[in-house]
Amino acid sequence: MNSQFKKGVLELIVLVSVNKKDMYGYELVNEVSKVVNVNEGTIYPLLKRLTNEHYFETYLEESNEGPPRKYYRLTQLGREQKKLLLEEWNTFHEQVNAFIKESEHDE
Amino acid sequence: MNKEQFIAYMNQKLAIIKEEERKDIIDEYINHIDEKVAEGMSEEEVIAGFGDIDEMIKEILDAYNIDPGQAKSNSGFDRKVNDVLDSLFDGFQRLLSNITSMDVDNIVKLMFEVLVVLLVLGIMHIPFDIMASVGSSLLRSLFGFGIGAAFSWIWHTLVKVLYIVMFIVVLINVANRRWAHFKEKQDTSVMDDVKESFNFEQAKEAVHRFTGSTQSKRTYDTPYEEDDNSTQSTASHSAKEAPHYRHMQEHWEADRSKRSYQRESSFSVIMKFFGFLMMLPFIAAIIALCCALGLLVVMSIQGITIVGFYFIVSGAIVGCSAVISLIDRYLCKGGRRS
Repeated sequence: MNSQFKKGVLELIVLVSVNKKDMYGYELVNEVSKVVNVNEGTIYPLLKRLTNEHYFETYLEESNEGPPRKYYRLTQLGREQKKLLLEEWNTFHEQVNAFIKESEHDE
Repeated sequence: MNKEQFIAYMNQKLAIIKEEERKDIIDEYINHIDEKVAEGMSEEEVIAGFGDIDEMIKEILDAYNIDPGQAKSNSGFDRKVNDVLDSLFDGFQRLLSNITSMDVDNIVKLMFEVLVVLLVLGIMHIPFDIMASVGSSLLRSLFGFGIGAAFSWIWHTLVKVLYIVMFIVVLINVANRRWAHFKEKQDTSVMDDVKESFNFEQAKEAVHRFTGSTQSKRTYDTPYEEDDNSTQSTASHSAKEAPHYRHMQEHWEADRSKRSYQRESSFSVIMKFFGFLMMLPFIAAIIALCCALGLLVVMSIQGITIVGFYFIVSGAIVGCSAVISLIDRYLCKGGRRS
């Protein structure tokens, strides 16, 4: 998959995942990996960027095994961004699908 | 690449990011590796799963809006030069504040003062030059041009050495006084220190104090003697009184020697000597001028004769005796005191 394209989709998937429930880094990476085949290393920079852009806020929570985990929670700004991205995705998805359908119909 | 190597590599490449933030992101990777290892993977496998680490680093820098190209140049030569310059400047400032606790104003002031001292010392070269030339011309005329030249060379060297010695002594002395004043946070001008180091004022004061002391000693002496010579009826009284006076006298002597020790350090004697050396060339110059005038008169009357040399010799003798008597008077006073 084209990496720029993947990056855009990745952001949406991460936002949607965290919107469902608060997640910690590794959990989120696994969640995303279920959907897209992605280098696991690239998720963390994205989380960092989304946090820096105030879409996420983080908090620490004790875990049963190992050190406390850093959880990501969606902010109001994050929810708006998710909504925006989702709309963009849907439009884009519909347009692409419509185009493909049309092209195939012409054949 | 194992975990340790990975952490070291990340730290190195992300050096531009604040340490706190850097630790935060690297901790995420460490957690990831630990989780995967707990699931049975090896560190190497997990890290290989990250893909291109440099690409990952680029994305992390991107998350901080850092242009990776810029980060690269920053970590390169430019940054190193900057770091070196910064550390040099910091080190210089720290050094200054450690040694002197001075600010920049004080340093500028200090530089100006050093200039003034050097100027004074430079001006002082003139009398030494006069001394050297007058002495060498005297020696030449006394001994003829063969031996005279040799003697005048020795004289020149001697004067030069004297000047250098004086230069260093004055410099050290002024610096010492300056340092002491700086420590006491006194605001005195550098000229005061220069003057003090030449000791004219101190010498005057010392002489004044000395004469005052001698007078006070006399006032102690006299009543004691009077008491001693007084009538027998007061003998018991004076016997009681005498130890008292004697004690006072001893005390006074001790006090005096202590004070004279303070005043009359070997250093101030040297400084006095140099003060005289300063005056000596002026005296010599005046005498030499007189001699030259006499010589001119003689020459105008008779042409150059042996009489002219006699004038010079007699002038030199008079000058030397005057100088010697001055030194004698002065130094003997000092000697009597200590």
